[in-house]
Amino acid sequence: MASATGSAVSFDGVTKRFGDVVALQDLSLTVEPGEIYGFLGPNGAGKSTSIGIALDFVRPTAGSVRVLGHDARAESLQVREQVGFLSDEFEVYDRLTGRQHVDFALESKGSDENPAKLLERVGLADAADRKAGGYSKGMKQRLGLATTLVGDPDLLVLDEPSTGLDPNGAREMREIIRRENERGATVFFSSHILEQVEAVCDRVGILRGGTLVAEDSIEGLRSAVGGDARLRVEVDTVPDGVLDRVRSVDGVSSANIDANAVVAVCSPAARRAVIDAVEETGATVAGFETEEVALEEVFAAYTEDASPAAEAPGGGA
Amino acid sequence: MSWLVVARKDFRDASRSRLLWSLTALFVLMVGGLAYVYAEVLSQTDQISSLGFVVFLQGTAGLFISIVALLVAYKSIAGERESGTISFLLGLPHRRRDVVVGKVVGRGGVVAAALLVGFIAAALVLVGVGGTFDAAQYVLFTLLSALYAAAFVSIAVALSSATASSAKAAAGAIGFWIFNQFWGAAMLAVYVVVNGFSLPQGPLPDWYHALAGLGPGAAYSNAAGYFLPPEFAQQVGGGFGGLPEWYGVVILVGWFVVPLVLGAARFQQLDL
Repeated sequence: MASATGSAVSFDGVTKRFGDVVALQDLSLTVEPGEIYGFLGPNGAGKSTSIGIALDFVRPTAGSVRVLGHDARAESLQVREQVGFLSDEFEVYDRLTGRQHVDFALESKGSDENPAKLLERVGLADAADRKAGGYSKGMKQRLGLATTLVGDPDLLVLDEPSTGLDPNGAREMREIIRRENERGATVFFSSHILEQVEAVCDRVGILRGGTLVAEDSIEGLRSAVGGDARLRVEVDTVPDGVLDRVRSVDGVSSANIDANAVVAVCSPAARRAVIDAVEETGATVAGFETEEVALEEVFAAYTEDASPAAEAPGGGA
Repeated sequence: MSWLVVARKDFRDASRSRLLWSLTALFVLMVGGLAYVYAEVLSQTDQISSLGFVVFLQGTAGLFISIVALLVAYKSIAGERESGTISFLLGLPHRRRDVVVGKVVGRGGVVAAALLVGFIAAALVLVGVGGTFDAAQYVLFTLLSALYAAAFVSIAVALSSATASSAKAAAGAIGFWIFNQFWGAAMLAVYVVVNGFSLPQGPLPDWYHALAGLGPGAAYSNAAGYFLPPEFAQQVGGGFGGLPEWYGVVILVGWFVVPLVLGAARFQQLDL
């Protein structure tokens, strides 16, 4: 039934207003069966609202969502029977054990899987009979993940699943996502951290101010801005024409002056050439450092107006 | 039977609460203690009977049950929205109305369990000190008290489902408790005003009894009067005027059903 009508998830012209605040504006996007779709955006972009609409926590002002061939509103029960959902607000029942949480998910979905196996898959076998209220944030998140795996869902919807996980935990989370995907599950997951999405996703949609500003494969995204890092070159004085010189270097997508430093967003291969270019203009390089491109800069590449849409209702400049 | 899964989970969770165990202990002590006091006071006069005790107990039990039921249930849904566990609960395939029904059943079960233990303790005390023990009447009164508790749980869950703030849910529960306590007095005040600012001479009219009997506490008293022999009915304040005898029972059932239905309907509409 799932693939008869094509998409795993489809948003069709979805708008959501909370009073005067527009959380989503005419959002349309499609997640294909079998893919891992990364839903990127800063906090407050509308990711959780979108996911909430898909699971019928939130009702759209306009438009509709279909999940696995079912209407997200009218057939929410069927949707949730086939979906494993991990909310960004996921919290445990403090007084119930890890196993009791999994038992509850099993009973709710009418599944007779072994709860111990599920807890083992997320590395919680040893803590299964402890009260979940005493778990660390990372353990709670793993428990949440275990409950989403119940019943081998056709679709996993994970909202900021790496929240609270250490790098090791985040890597294990990605491995579980990949394994579930290999089993045949479609994965729709949101994040505000580019590199987490980059590591596993086939396709990425970028949400900003309630609007989808880009939708592309990872390669497509990377060719525009991705892969680049910010190189900060500290200089004694900033020579005239240094920016033009740096911008002309192959692999540099942008360059700016910040106090006594030249800041270039460039591919790793271009770093040497950028430093050379700065020195060629007559400056003495006092030091340099690189940092990952923040998500905001990815957005900047897709949007001309740097100020958030919500704060500039008049638009224009 | 999705509501049953929710109810079982909720009962399991709530029955691990220390507050609940303290309340149960307190309830057992109170009812058992009252039974003991009742037996002591009357031990000289050879008038000890379970019916007499029910009359003795009803007012205090009504007060205590209303507080315990509101306390156990006021956070049932608002608390889940506040903490974020609602996203786990409703991420699973449960209809919202099943969540509301499951909460009423789960929390109701918790209060009923405490109530049952207390009433059994009291029965043991009464049987222990001798006197007449009318088991059928006692069981009826226990069931009626359970219905009264269920009505308050239903009200608390309905209030709790309407807000994402435990504090607001608590304010609603307290507000309702005050309404219940003072509804009868308020109606009496209305009567006095309608009567030209003078106190009633002789029996109060039926319309006053009908209005005053709308509060759940009054309905509990009236219903107890319906189930008890007439001489006791007067003592618990039941069976007045020209009202039908079943009036209290129907109102009490109404206080259980109406909040449940309205709460579920309202909860269905909300963005969570």
